[in-house]
Amino acid sequence: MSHEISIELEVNRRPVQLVVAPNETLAQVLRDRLSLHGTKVSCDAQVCGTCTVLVDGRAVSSCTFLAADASGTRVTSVEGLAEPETGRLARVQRAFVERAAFQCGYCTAGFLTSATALLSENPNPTRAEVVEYLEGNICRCTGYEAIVAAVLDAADADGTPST
Amino acid sequence: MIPDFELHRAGDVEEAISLLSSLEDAACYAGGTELLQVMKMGFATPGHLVDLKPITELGGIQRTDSGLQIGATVTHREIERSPLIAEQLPALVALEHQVANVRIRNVGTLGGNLCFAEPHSDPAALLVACNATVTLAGTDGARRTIPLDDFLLDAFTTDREETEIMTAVTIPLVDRRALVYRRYAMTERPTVSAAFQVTIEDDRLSSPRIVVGAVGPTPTVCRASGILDDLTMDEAREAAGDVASACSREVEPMDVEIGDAYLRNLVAVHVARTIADVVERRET
Repeated sequence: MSHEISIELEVNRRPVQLVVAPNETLAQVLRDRLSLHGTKVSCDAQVCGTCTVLVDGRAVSSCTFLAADASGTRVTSVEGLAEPETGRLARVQRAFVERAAFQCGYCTAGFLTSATALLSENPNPTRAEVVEYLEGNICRCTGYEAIVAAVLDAADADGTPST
Repeated sequence: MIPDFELHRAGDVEEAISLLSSLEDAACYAGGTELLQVMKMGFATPGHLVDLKPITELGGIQRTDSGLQIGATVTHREIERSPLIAEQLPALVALEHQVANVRIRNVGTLGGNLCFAEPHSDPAALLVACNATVTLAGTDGARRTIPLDDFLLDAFTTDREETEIMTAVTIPLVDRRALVYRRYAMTERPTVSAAFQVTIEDDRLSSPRIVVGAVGPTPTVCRASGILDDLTMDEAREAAGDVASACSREVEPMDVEIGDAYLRNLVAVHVARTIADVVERRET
């Protein structure tokens, strides 16, 4: 049974046209069709946050988001966070590197996309706001302290044009 | 893996109802945070999903003569960030801020939450405490508005016909200071929640309504709320412990593995705290 749907969207600033099945998720399209393997799927139940991507700037769980519903939107996965021309990492990514805010790294893409959504909504969050916003992202290595510190660094950096 | 289905986009309420009436095995679809999840788990395998998101009439938050009206496809996050709701019903904003995680709040809708009738719904308990109503549209242009309390029949069971869609939730305007919600969650969903709504005039309580959520199959409107009726604030503070104990005896705990006695104790603690919230907020 197949009821294919044509979709047009922007993925990491590039236009994409695809024909998808109704039951195909955004995570499947990113990973299996577009070879963007930075987006990980772990719990497959919208709990762990590893599959977080931005759809029109909003954080969503791509494991449970229909690709068909991404038609007409701008999707940003972890691969789209760096500056497109130079490949220079985004501030929040650099802050993660500087703080070594990962251990096994499986959750990192989800934390980076979630943090990007947070900082675009709230450029100068308090520590409590960072913790609260990232509550839905799980790091099984439990490296939360460095992650929160990195997000706060990135927020500070946003207020300082010279960095 | 989500089982295969056919996706239909409904442009307006009439089209959605006509699709639901003509297609066999069709389900309403909006945020999908509940539906797609149960489909993955194999608990539901609808052959057709009727997408209600394109229907403009189902969106929007507005103040009407009957109170605050929230469209069925308004997301948790829209409620959380609505200046109108923050002004009129801050307890609902605080509640929505606690729902699941930000990704689910960005996508999941209020109508979907209520129609799915998961017993551990956050909004259901507070909305039942506020005497909220839901409006359903059916075939031949029929519309009916019923109390949310009557709409929620059992766990995962509502009064909605298969050919009906929820269009809006309406919350009568209440004293914003005399509505509180508390929850305790061991996972993403509340283990227990308590909502308390009351009218306070000249230091005296009337129409008290305590609702316990997440413990039984549907929110429990506690008969023991009546004990608080016509009490002064001081008397209410004195009575809070007795009322809370009585409420804990009225609920029907479902999550037996957590333990009946423990759940009832959680109910008593949270009900007592909601009463204290109201009484103490007035004194300061």
